[in-house]
Amino acid sequence: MSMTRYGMVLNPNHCVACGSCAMACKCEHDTPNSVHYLEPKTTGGDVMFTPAGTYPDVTMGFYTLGCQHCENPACVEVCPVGATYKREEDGIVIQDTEICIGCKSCIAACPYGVRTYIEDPQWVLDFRSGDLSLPEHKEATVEKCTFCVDRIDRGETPACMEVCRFDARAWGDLDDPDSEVSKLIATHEVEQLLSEQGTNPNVYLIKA
Amino acid sequence: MKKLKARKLSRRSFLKSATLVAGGTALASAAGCASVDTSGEESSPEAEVPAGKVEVKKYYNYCRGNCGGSCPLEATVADGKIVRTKPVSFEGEAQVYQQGCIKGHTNPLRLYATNRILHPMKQTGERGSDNWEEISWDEATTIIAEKFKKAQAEYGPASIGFWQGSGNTANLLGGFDGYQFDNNNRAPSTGIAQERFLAKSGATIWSACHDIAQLYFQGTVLQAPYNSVEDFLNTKLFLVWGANPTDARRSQWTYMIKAKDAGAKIITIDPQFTNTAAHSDKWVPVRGGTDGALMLAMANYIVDHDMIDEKYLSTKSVAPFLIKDDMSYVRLSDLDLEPDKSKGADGNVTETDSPVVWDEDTESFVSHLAATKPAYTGITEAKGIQVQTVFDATMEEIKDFTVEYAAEECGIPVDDVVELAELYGTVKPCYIINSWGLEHYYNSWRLYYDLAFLASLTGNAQISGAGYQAGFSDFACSHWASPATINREDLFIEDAQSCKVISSERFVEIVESGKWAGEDFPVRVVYIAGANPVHSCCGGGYIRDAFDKVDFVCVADTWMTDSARYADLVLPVAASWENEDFNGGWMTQKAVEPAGECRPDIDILRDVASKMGYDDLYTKTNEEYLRTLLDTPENIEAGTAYDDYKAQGIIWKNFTPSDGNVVPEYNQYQRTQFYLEVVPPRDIYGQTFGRHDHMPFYEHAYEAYPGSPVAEKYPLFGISYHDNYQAQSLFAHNAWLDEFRSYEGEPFMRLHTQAAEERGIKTGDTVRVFNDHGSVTLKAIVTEGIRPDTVFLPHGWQGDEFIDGHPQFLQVPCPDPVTSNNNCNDYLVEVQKA
Repeated sequence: MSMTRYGMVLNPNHCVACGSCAMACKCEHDTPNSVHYLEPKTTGGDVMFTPAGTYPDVTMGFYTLGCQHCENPACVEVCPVGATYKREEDGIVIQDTEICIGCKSCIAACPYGVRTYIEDPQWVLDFRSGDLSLPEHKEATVEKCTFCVDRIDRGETPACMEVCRFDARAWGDLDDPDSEVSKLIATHEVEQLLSEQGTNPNVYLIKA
Repeated sequence: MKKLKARKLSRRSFLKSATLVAGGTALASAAGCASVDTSGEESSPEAEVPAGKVEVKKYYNYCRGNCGGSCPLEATVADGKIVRTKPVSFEGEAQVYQQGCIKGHTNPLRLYATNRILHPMKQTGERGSDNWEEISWDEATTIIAEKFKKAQAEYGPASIGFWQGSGNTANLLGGFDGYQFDNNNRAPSTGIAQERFLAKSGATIWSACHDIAQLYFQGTVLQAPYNSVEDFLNTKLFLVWGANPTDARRSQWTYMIKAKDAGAKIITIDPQFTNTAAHSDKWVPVRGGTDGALMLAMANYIVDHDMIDEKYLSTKSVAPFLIKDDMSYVRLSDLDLEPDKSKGADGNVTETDSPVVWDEDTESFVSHLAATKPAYTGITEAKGIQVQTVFDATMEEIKDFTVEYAAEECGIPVDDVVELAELYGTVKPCYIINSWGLEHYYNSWRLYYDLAFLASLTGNAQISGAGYQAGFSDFACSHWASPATINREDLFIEDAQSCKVISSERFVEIVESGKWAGEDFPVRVVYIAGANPVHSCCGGGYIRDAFDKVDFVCVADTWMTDSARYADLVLPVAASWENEDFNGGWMTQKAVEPAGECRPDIDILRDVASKMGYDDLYTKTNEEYLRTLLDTPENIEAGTAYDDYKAQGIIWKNFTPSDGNVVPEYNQYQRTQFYLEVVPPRDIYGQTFGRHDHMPFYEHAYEAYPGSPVAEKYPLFGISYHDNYQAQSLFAHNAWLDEFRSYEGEPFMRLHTQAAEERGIKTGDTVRVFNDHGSVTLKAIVTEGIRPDTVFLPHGWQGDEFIDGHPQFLQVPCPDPVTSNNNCNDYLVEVQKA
């Protein structure tokens, strides 16, 4: 059986940080208030949607930030109980909240700041929403982007990928030269976030 | 079996709920609005749900957010509640038409919002006091019927007004069709509920005015055509001017990025560094309300530097038409020439007294249809009549609007004006992407002459890859089936009375003066449905104050809005997904039961009608009305009848990709029009028009312009922004969106670094923005991405979401004499640290 290595390619030249993918993720996973596995981001000023530079010569960039599903994930190394691990068959970095003891070592180790400690989860709605077949959120555990592993296992597309209108995100098998992601990487100059950290992310960004 | 744990509700939603009834009594908190358990303890009985085996059902509808998108949504229902809404995924080649945005996902929060109105309520204190008492539907409809009858008897039927908006766009049975583009030629709406009641009662229609300068003047009057959105791929240059496609016309952005990848350039002309500007090759930060000066300076430059497409100008625009002193065209009969004759499909010959041009090829005055080389300049006399070409008249009228004038007026370097003119004059084809960002000023209606003139000079119209309005091109990408036919018989009643249609932007002046068009015009009762004028019309503070001079204000809405707060009576209206309806194009499926005592608008009017003695007004059931509309033989044949829509919600068509359609001019001359013989005002009240109202001209805005006397006290231009997170007030009080659109949970304004430093303001500070009209207190964000003389103020949040005041209260109603537009950016402010 051939191995799969799931990855994503983001296109900041198309992305407008509209948050549709991030909201799809939030709603699908019914994340507690203020918890996002995926964040729309702008680059430039200190605050979202502010540019760098001096008026009127200013610039601003767009991308989304979630778990990078790294080849060498810093989180996996430090987890004392094996709650976070790379899934053998496809390289997705799994966070199992049934095992997690909430020690936050992974949060400290991850250079991307994409993991959230769920201390005292609260919701606006007084009933569960989103994909009701997903496991419930647990207090005192760490959560992050699941790469929609449940959807992938059902043969579906990750929630964030389904809703992007602007070809700003693609996913697939990086080891399959015919996959959309492999083709994008082959035809564009790409970069990884914080590549100097040695984590070797499986999320690539097309260069602006 | 795994137990579903009861949820802790956030303090945030508790606070919102508490805010809603603040100033009320124990009675108030028990009444009306959605309740949230405020104990902080478990809020719902424990329900046993087998994990992973929850029975769910899917329903289809569209996002009734009135952002212009109307995106199809799929809802998942479990245990009688909508647990998820998401944009319907388009497959294969249709993916390019994928719709949806961040807002669509949050429809569950709209349904189960803390500010839902759940019961009829009457205000027991003064308006705005939030002292609500829950009453029965019977009592509520009795009150309305009595108020209506009293006003009819004492002041006549026109003293009752229905205020319409676009808050509920499914309007056969519910909602109200907001727009009458042309108030003088009222088009019957698709809404049975409203249309029958209006015709029976002869009530006045307070017609929506948002974006009407473009919709009416560029669309209805000048009839500017636009190509379909797929044609964006064929352009070399986009001038994004008064638009923000990344956020507000997202279907356009899909095609703009494809064009951009293929090498097209994007230039964004906007006071703010929008997301579209960030993706552009150049940002030209023009001062709001001065765009006309820039357009006319470009026109002068293009003419002065011989960049004219003479063939287009003379053969495809009205430039060569000859005008007389009274502004009318010289026609064939003026010169004793035979009328043009054309044979129709029915074989009948029609005679037309066409406008005349001087044909250089034949050296004679002939019909513009016959000329092969019309002269666009230099003709001063036609058989003894003193004349001027439209082109010459226009150039005379705009001669003062030079590059230097525009640079000064618009607050940009001369080089930027020249660069824009050079690009527009030489790069072809070019699209001007205008949406409604241009037209929120008193002078905005004039811009549509200017755009047509620019396109006429350069030939950037009626060809592939070019256009001078982007129009509704994002609606073009829908690929669901409309009914083959519509049976409109239920829209008409036998004893119909005519209804006055008046622009709602004129409400304040009419209530204040008691007069309209020189006659007494008492306004006694206002019934608002699908609209939130205090929030969304110009000068909410003035509208609120005008309510004080009206006997009775009733608001029928799904949510407790800024306007509902100032009503005497509020009525709970069923939300999207809670009742079946039709919007002309597709059915909205019912997915869940209405919350509380919510009802569709038609059921409310049904009871009011019966109590007014209109027993025969609504004789069919709601389903029967839908069946009459849809169950035509053609629809049954085509699979677009009632049962088809009921089963499917949205009926998909076979998808065929399009390369784009080029749409020619379709006005009576089939030429690009930048001149009108007669200026047709949307409201007629005795106004007159001068020479420069017939053609391109620049005059400054109402209050917001350089050198405005108001600027001495209030030097900053206030401006709103159509981003991706709001659609008027329809997504207010939405905690999921707040996580993405707020500054630390709160609405914010933006101001430039220099303006902030002068006032000692830093990002995160609380500031008060004020002028003589009103004030608002909110958070500030400091940015380099806005003009130093301009501040951004948010639109979409409700008053109770601000620390104090309301940004809408900074505005003043200032409808222009031609379109009565909602000129919501035409105001100046000062900002201070609060």
